[in-house]
Parts: sequence; structure tokens; C-alpha cells
Amino acid sequence: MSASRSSAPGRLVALDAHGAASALTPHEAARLVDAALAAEPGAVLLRPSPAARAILAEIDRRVPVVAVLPDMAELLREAADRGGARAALARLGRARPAAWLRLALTAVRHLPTVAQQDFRGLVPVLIELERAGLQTAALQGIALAAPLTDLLLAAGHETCIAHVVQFIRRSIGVEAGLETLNLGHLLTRLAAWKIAPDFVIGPLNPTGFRMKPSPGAVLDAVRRAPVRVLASDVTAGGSVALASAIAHARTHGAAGVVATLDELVSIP
Amino acid sequence: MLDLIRLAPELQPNVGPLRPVRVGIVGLGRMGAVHAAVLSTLPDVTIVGAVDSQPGAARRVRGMGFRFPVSATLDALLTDQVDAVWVCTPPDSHLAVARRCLEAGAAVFVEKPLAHSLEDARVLAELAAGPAARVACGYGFAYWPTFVAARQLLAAGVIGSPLRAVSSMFLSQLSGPQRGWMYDRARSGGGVVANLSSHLLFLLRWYFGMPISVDATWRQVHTAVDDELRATLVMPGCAQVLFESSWCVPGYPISVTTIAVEGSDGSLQVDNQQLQLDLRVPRCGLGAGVTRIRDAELPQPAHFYFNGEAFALEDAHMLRWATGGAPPPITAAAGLDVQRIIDALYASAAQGGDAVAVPP
Repeated sequence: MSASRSSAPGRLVALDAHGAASALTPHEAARLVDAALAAEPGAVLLRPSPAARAILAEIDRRVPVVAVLPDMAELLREAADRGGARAALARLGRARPAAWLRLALTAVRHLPTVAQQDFRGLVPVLIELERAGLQTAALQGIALAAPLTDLLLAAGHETCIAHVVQFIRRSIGVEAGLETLNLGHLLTRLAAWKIAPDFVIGPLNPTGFRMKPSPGAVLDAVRRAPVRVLASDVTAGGSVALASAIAHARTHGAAGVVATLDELVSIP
Repeated sequence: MLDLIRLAPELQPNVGPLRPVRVGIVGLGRMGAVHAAVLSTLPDVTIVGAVDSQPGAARRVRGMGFRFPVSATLDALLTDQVDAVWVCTPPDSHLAVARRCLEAGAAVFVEKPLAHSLEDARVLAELAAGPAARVACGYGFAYWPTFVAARQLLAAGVIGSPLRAVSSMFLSQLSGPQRGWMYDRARSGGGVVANLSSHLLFLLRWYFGMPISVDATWRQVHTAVDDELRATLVMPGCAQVLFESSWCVPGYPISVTTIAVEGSDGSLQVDNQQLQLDLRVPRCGLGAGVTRIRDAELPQPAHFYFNGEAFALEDAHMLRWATGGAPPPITAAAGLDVQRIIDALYASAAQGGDAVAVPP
């Protein structure tokens, strides 16, 4: 599978705010994103939490969005509390009727694999379900969230990863990415499987934080990968200055970098 | 100080089985799938099969991409010459499954808690005390870098003698009535303490030794088991430890565990993300004052990251033990100790908060 000509952004601002940025109002957070993207054009990286959606609502609607889907932890928690059907309906309630139709079509197209509980069918339906509630007009790309990517990677579910990439690219019509916390493992397997998503998001930083299987193996895999790598965890949990962390990632072959709101607020 | 932390056996790099091993998994719920994923990535490990009595289990794990065979009974797995078995079934079945695995000569990793009752836990620990037996219990905080670092520093006396501690573990797991084995005391052995914050009890025992007595109160908010529990533990290595846990508070999408220890020469505070010391006197290469260590600064030796470092490390260390290496800190004996504390907490709570001695 060859990669499409990708325009994956060079800079992404993730609307994740677990530390210092969690004290910001959505408006203040949005202005921080605006400032960061004014300094260097890029996109917003969105995980569909209520807090992130509130910030997104305050951001210029023309700013490109790359969504990381699905939020499995939130989905499972809601399903446990309210039941799977009500958790799904809550997402559809935020969507336009066109999104309901897309979800229905996706479910019908994947019916045989869904019936077999095969993730080749389940993951596209989950992505479509989460996309329905995104409320963004400027979706540029979708990355499969790390918990699912890494589960499929560990299980060796090559056909599912290939199918998800094709589904995002062809059925949704946006760039297809994979988020991982095992960057070296994933890039190596993608090469062996001849799967080329438009981009991969994974940890790359000067201290080796979360670089699996080892910092050296990750740097080597990134250097050799035909896939565009967007570096995450660039400041290694705040232990490296953001500017030098970004420079480090780019020096080592990252096509783009992800900075979180927390990093923008608290790391010079 | 970081050199001291790097000496921790739990954070050594390149740990794994000392020879190629064949492993099996019993129970393919959430924890079974997590261990299947982690074990699939470890070098020299082959998952030869799994067991689950539910009809859809085989289809479910095949749907994730796993290709190992799944059978409905333990016999098929145990005739396949397995070196080690991961028992990820509800706690009321741990003893029966582990006993058969041990009889077949396999090492056994039992997900926490060790059993649903103190009686079962005692029998299992007794079986595990056999000369060739290897039984571990899944208290993964023993491999969580910040918590390992805290143990190293406490053991080195960095804050002097611990005087008192405040500890908590919170998770927003439920906000309404629930069904399933985890909320059925007869199957799970209890609620938030047995199924979640027994992890924290493991840490307290690891840091300060076995409590002498406890007093506890509990609340049932959404389920028929303890949804919240508050307790005081009197411990030999720290005069008094406050303990609080809930799985129905908002604001904790991921569980957060915190321990703050006041010592004779300073204080230490640790959580899942970082560790902070405030020393009154220079010690272990640190000057007086506040020092903060983030998890990113600690060793991260796991080969594969899945829900953190700990799962990969605990499985790797278990397999090293199963193949002749050193025992991990999460042996069945440690699991039994935690079960004794759980039993005392529940006994005290059931008596309205009276002080209860931890059973021998």
C-alpha cells in the first residue's frame, strides 16, 4: 500500500490540558492555540473530550483539525455507565443527520466483520461514531488512537491496520494516521507489512522518554521510514525546553511536532 | 540519587525469560487481553493457547488479531506443555485454576487480588510455597517507575524514619448502578478495595511492612460492594497511615494514586507521574530543600509500552522467575499479605469502624 501525497502539518497543537493548562478557560486556551499557529501554521490535534470540544468551539473554524479517534477509555466508561446504545446515542445527538447516515452506511458495509467481532469492522464503526460528534468542518486527518493501534500492533493484526488506513483515506476522505506509544515497533512492522499511512504520531524526544523499544531503535526507524512521523512527547514530560525539543525532533527526521497546551503554557 | 533508583531490580533493562517459553492465558476479559498483548511482544515468548468458558471469547480475541487457539477447558492448555499460565479469571476461580496449573508443573501469574477470600488466598499461598512452585500476583505498581523510586528512597532512609503517611487511590470508574462479577462480593471478594486499591495496599505493605491493626468505614454508593472506603492503618514502619479510596468520584478518568510520607528528616510525596522530596538535611546526594523527579527522568526499561511500563515489566520479570531467575516482589506471599489487610479492612467496616487486628 503506497502513501498518498501527504500534507500532514508541520506543527500540531494538541488540545490536551491535564496540567497547568487545565486552569485556562476555553477562550484563553483557544487564544493560546491561535498564537501558536500564528507563529507557525499547522493544525489542531483533537481528542474528542468535552473540554477539547469547548476549546475547539472558540477556535477559528478554518483551522485544520487532525482527530485522534476513538477515545476508547471514555467510550468504555460511558458504555459501562449508560449502556453501549446510550453512549452511542449521546455521540449521535451532537451530530447532523448526514452523520447518522454515514454511520449507518459504515455499519452496513462492515456488517459481516462486525458480526464476527473483528476489529476490521468494529474500528471503522467506532471511528465513524466518534467522528459524528466532532462538530468540525475542517477535518484534515484522522489518527487511530494509540490504545487501539498498539493493541493491533501487539496482536499482529496487519489486515485491520491496513483496512483502517484505507477506510480513513477513501471512505472518509482525509489523511490517515496511526498514533502509537511504540514508535520503533510500529514503523518496523509497517515496513514489513508494506502499509504506508499518511502519518504516524509517536514519542520522540532528547531523553528517550516512551521511545520503544529503545531510543536508538526509534531514531533508526524514523530515519529509515518512508512514512511521515509527527513527534509527540517532545519535551519528555516537561523536562526539555519546548523550542529545543522541537528542534531535536526535526533534526532526527520528524516531519512535524505535536505540542500540548500544557507544554505551551508551562515550558519555555 | 538517580543512581540509587537505577539500582532497583524492578527497573533493570533487558529482563525476560532465560530461555524460550510457552505460555497460556486463562480468562480473556480485559486483563486477559492486556496480558495477551504484552506477552505477544516479549522476545522468546510463545502464547500456545488460551482458555475461556464463554462461547464468544475465541471470536473476540481473534477479532483483535490474536491467532493462538482458544479452548473452553483447562485440559487442552495444560496438555500443551506450558511453562507459565496467566490466570485472569474472576477471583473466586483463582485457587482452582492455579492449583491445576501448578499440578501440571506450570508457573502461575494470578491477576490481583490473589483470591476472593482470605481462606482461598491462604491455600493458594501454601501451594505456592512448594519447592518448585512459582506463583506471582498482579500488583503491577511494583514495576511503576515512580513508585519503585519511592521505595528505593524510603528504604535508603532519605527522609529518615517515616512517622505518618496519607494515601489515596481514586478512579471515575462508575457513576451509576453496575452489574457483573466485579460488583458481586461472592465472586470478586469486594469492591473498590479488593479490585482497585489493593494496588495501593500492596505499596503500603512494600514501603512500611504489614499493618498491625486497622479501622475502616465504607460506603455503598452505586453497588452492593464497597464503592468508597476510608481507613487508618497502624504499621510497624510508619506509625499511622491514612487510606482513602473511591471508584465513583468524578475527575479521575485514569486512576490516580498518591502517597505522602512525613519522616523525621523530611517528606516524600509520590503519585503515578512524579515524586517530590522536601529534605531538612542533605542525604543520598541531595541537598536540603525541595527536589522534584518526573517519571520522564526515571528509567523506562519496558520493551513495549501498553497502559504504562508496568504490565510489560511485571510479565517479563515473572517469566524470568519462571525460568530460573530471581523472584519478583509480587509473590503469592505478598498477595496473601494484601489479602490479610483487605480482610481486616472489611471486618472493621462491617463492625462500623472498630479497630481490628490484621489476621496472622
